[in-house]
Amino acid sequence: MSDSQHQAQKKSTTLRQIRSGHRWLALPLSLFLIFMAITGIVLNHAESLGIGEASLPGSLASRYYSIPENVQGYALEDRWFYNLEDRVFLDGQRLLPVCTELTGVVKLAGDFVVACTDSLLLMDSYGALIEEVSLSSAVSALGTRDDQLVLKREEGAAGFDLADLAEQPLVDAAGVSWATSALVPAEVLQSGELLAISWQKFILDLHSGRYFGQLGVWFQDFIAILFMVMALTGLRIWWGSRR
Amino acid sequence: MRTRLISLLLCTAVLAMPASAAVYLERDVFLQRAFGEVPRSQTLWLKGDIKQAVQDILGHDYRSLRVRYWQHGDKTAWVLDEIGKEQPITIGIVVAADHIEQVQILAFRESRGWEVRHPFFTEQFQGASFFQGTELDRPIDGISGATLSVKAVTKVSRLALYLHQRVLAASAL
Repeated sequence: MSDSQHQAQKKSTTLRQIRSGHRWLALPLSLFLIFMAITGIVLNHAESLGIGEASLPGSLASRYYSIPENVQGYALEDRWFYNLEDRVFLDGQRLLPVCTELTGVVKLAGDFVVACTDSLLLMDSYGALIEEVSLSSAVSALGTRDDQLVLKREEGAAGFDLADLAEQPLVDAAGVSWATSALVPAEVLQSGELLAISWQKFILDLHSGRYFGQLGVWFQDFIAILFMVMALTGLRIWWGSRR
Repeated sequence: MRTRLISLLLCTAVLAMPASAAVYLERDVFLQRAFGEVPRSQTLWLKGDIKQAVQDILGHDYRSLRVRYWQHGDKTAWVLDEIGKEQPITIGIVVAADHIEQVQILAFRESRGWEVRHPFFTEQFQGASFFQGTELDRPIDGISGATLSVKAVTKVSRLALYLHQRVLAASAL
């Protein structure tokens, strides 16, 4: 056999091997592809399908999502304020405002004042948001003194007037009753909407692999790499067939 | 050739990076620019027929039970929040003599749609007033890829105009 014939045979064998590998990969990957396509289409039309608002049945949610532990919150009159997933919760009920870090809760003139780092949320006794007030800088703690709201910042404490949003630095912070956090009891965490997982979140977690934790994410990455291998082998086969 | 390819890839990566949450203008600065000497703030409770009108304009209840405004004569300034896609956009609106004087995006928290903060978009609202009912007297050009943000800013502008009219009507009584 001449060199050119030998090379041609070698190329033909390589192409056959690539074709075989491509075929065998295609079988399991096709199932993933169908699954990803279906979840992807559903997520693409999440708003019109209303899956962002519809919640998973509680039994399904509690089976596959765990309730966090060791959550710090603020207790006022036997009611617990805490924040999870960037939301404020009151006794298990997810409230409207976004809050990345709860830094204090006090009661003032019958209403709750909730400090969320750089904003104050004024809430009525039902947890309805009366007003959200943005602050000029972050607040690390909230307190009261003589029916006045007091904010603690890095640079010092300041009295805050909710009526006209005026701040006045306090020379002396003696006598301020600061809100202190404590561990939220498990029964409060387990009640209410904490497990109100939307169908959108559930499908997104399945689509991304996050449903199965970090291993699931890595597995999805692995599948994505296999898809790339499929694309490259497919191109190679197409190129070989052309020639 | 390789250098150009790397440069192109880097540029693409930077442009493709989502914008993080940003405060573009502090509320106090916005108010100072609107009034010079900032008047004392007042609150307006969104209840009764006001609540219904707000719902008609926004398509839902406003996120809080009351809103705060600043007034000097027939000029009012409002700082209102509206959800774009998932996060609230903080919008400052100044209304004078029943026309929108200015719209400013004070804070934007989404990863997309931040183009609404640019003057080419917000300047469309200058001089806008109501035409029929609570509809604006002009079309607002959208921005590709920022549809929800555009809708949010437009709705809030209409809301500010409406609340301005209610405040002035109450002041006249």
